[in-house]
Amino acid sequence: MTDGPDFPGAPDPANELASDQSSLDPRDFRNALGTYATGVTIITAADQAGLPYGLTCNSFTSVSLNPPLVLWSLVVYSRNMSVFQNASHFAVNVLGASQQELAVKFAMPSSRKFEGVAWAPGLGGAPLLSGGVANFQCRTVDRYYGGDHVIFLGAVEAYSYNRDESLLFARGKYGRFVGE
Amino acid sequence: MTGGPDFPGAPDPANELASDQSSLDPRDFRNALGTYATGVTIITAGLPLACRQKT
Repeated sequence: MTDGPDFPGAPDPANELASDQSSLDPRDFRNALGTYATGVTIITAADQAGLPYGLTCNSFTSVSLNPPLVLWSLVVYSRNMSVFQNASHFAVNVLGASQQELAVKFAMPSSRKFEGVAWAPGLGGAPLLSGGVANFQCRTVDRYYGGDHVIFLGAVEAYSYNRDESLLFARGKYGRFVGE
Repeated sequence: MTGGPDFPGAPDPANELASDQSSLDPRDFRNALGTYATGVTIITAGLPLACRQKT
């Protein structure tokens, strides 16, 4: 669901988890993981020149309430990896049910993702997108290799949210919540 | 959503992240996290057969 790879970089050879010895089929494994529904976020950061970067992500997870910690992961060969590796902060923008087009836009490789998108710089310059249901402004406190992904751990320094309906993603499709 | 703790374990003092220096209200922060939908799982575990035979 995140940006497609520009180049197939090899995972960290020092990481014992980064082997491909598994007999599981990655595509089928991904389909199985897709049965687990998630919300949809756009993770953003600014590069050293202050330029905005962002990508659609559904690997966001809460970690701890006190201290307030969250994580997300990015495939190691993402074209955006260096930006997030070097950024002091990132922002998690949780999308609303009306923002499916934005999710699709930020899931595709493009240098024009922010054209026509309303946003304001948050902590560390990380863009805060308008119209979502929540945002979490995070200081990057650690990074871990996890197989073919890098896991970013963030300390939440500020956040906001509202009661609007959230956008959902499951089995490769976007959707809306239907309560009991 | 998970079961309540049996005992309030102290955070790992060796972990610099395990401080409560944040000014954020945990309850409100939890409500904010709740805007992000998730599926629901039940995580299970089992003891190795050798351990089960000892009990």
